[in-house]
Amino acid sequence: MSTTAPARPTARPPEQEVPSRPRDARLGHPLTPYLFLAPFMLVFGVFMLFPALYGLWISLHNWDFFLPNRPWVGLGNYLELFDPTSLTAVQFWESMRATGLFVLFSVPFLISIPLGLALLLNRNFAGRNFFRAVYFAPYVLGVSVIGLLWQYLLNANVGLVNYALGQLGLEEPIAWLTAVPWVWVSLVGVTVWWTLGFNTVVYLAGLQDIDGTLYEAARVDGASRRHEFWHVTVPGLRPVLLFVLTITILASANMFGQAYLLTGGAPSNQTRTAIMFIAETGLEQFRIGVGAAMSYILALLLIGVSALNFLLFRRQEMK
Amino acid sequence: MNDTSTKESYSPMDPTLASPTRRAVLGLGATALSAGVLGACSSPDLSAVSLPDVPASYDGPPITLRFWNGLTGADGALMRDLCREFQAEHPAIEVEMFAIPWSSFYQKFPAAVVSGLAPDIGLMQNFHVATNAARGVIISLDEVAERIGLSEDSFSATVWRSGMVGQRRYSIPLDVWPDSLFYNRRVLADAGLDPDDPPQDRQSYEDTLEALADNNVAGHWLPAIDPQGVGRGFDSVLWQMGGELYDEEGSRARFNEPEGVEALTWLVERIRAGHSRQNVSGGDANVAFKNDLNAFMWGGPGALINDFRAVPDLDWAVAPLPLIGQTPASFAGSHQFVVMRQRSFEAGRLAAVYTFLDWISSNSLRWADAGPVPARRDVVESAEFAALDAQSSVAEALDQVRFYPLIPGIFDVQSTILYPAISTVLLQNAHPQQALDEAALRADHLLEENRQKYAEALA
Repeated sequence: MSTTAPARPTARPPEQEVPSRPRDARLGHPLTPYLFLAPFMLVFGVFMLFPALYGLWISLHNWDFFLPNRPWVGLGNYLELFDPTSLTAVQFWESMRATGLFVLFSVPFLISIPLGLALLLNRNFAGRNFFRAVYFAPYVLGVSVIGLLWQYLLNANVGLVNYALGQLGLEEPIAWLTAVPWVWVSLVGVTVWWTLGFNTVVYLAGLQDIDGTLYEAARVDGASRRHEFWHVTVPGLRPVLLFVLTITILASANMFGQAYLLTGGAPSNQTRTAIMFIAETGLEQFRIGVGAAMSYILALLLIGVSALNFLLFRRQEMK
Repeated sequence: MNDTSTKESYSPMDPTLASPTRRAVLGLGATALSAGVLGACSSPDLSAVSLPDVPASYDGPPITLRFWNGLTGADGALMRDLCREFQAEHPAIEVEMFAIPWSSFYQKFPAAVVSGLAPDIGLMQNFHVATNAARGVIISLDEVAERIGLSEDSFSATVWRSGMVGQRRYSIPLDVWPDSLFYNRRVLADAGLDPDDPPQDRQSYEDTLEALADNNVAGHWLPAIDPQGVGRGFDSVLWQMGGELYDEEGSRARFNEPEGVEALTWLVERIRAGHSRQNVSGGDANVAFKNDLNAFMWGGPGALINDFRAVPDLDWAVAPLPLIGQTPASFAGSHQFVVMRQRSFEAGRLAAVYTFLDWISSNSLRWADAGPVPARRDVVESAEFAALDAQSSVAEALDQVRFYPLIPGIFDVQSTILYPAISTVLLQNAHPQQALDEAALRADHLLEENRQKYAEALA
């Protein structure tokens, strides 16, 4: 996504519009914008709004899609999730913890490494476009592809990574996919390798948007590289940073495929993320009511985190 | 980006598709909208199914039956062949087969039934039959069994009864696949052991593993992580020890009783003793077996016979599971035919369905090529079946096969509660008693919830 604002229409020709024309005829029918929006709103309504509201309704029932009897339980599903003696609640918060840990471990890398890469790729050197493509390449792969690929590579007993480490003299095979802390190393590493291209591209667009004269001015004032970075690049990137941070936190909190394919939640459900547990509850055990309630709690938390993000950045800007 | 849905939504449309007309797009949108809203809001119909009088055979115009199953491997190709053979004999009936991986099959086909797009016939694993019967997405087949002249006499009793839910029959067994002991003859021979005499009791099994360990071979790679297989070995040993997974009504877990703990302790001992590698996941054991690094695998013939047969130079054979406890028992599954509930049934179409079920049951010998043992006794006792070495070795265990109890929702309890607990122990992160107790608590909870949920449907 580019942060460049669309080019503003050039100033209107100075001559007056034909005076007899009424204002709304020039602007078109008042419904016109809504008609243009309608196709999107239809898709949005059918695939986002309706399911979201319908999900709220479901979460108030003991709901199984395939059973005719769906008793109303009110807030029962939610209360169960906050009842420390409930087994579902214990597992749900365990999975929320896994999600939280993943966000905590992955976001710093997903924010900082792509920034460094973008700074490098923004310089002039031969083969720059080639490297831009190289770093973006993994991102075009689907999660099932990277899941399968790394499952083979990271397998503790017959994987290539351990084989290579063994050749280097490592005696004990590392349980990349079955033991803490290696599972986190694997999941974060794979995710960073896979998705860093996206953030890099966003940063690159942001960097190219910073006015070059600011750097010149800074240099005239005797700023060092470090000063340039902190006083020109970072402030210039602020809106982009906010975007990247928000989107990365959301994406990491929605992590599912990597853990599902690579670790299957192992060991002892420690990498079973919230989305995985919700899918298991809702779509495997078909306890859709509880599953929906979990989704809403997760969604509320994420909305909260994103709002906090915006607030913090805005306060910085006010300063 | 971890959210795959976002990525997929960016994928460009397939340019080879003819671009649809605007009217078609609008029509499609409207249909999808109404189907979505209606399908989502209307609750499914569980009323009794009244079937029309079905003629003895199908003699109408050409008809296409939709047959869904989860046979995505080599077994799927064989099933397609069988469907073609059937059509050659019954030119008016075409059987169109859709293979969907099992895990999504059980999500997709009930949804298809609820939204009025049900296939005609399905093949499912027996431990899902009760669940789907309780959901009302498959219909009772008591009459059908009678019509095609199938009864308990023609099957092994355990297999035949595994199609029953309560007092009614919901499925017709096609095959049975008891977990068996696959052994790599070359690995045994290289360790100076007799490749023609696989160990069949606890003492000799442990001795063999010990002898292999002396030769630096982990003889029984025991998967600690495996969505399918991790707990099946435990199930078998638990039954052999005389234990039970659940009580008879399916309301309480019993796998944490001493027999279960003993079974799990025996398994984890194999890892501690170096008979198995640590942290074995999913396919490792299989890869190691094929590369002569692993001597024994416990697994189902449906998957493994075909799989191993395809590896050149692999010298393997199969025998029933060794007796670790006191009572012979092997975890088994069975593929069973079901008929999906339709919004309305047509007599002719049902006649075609019955014709197919009858034909495929009588011709199930061909199905044995895929690996499993046919469910019909006359087939298993035939000379042609005896000629299939591997399959007939597997069939020796037919008397000792054990299934999960036939209660709705049982597979979820196994796969989402018990098996992860086994996995935790095999990764050596918990003691058997502790992990099983915890799992039993969770299982009781889900069993109770399932009982309430499905009670009305089964009443």
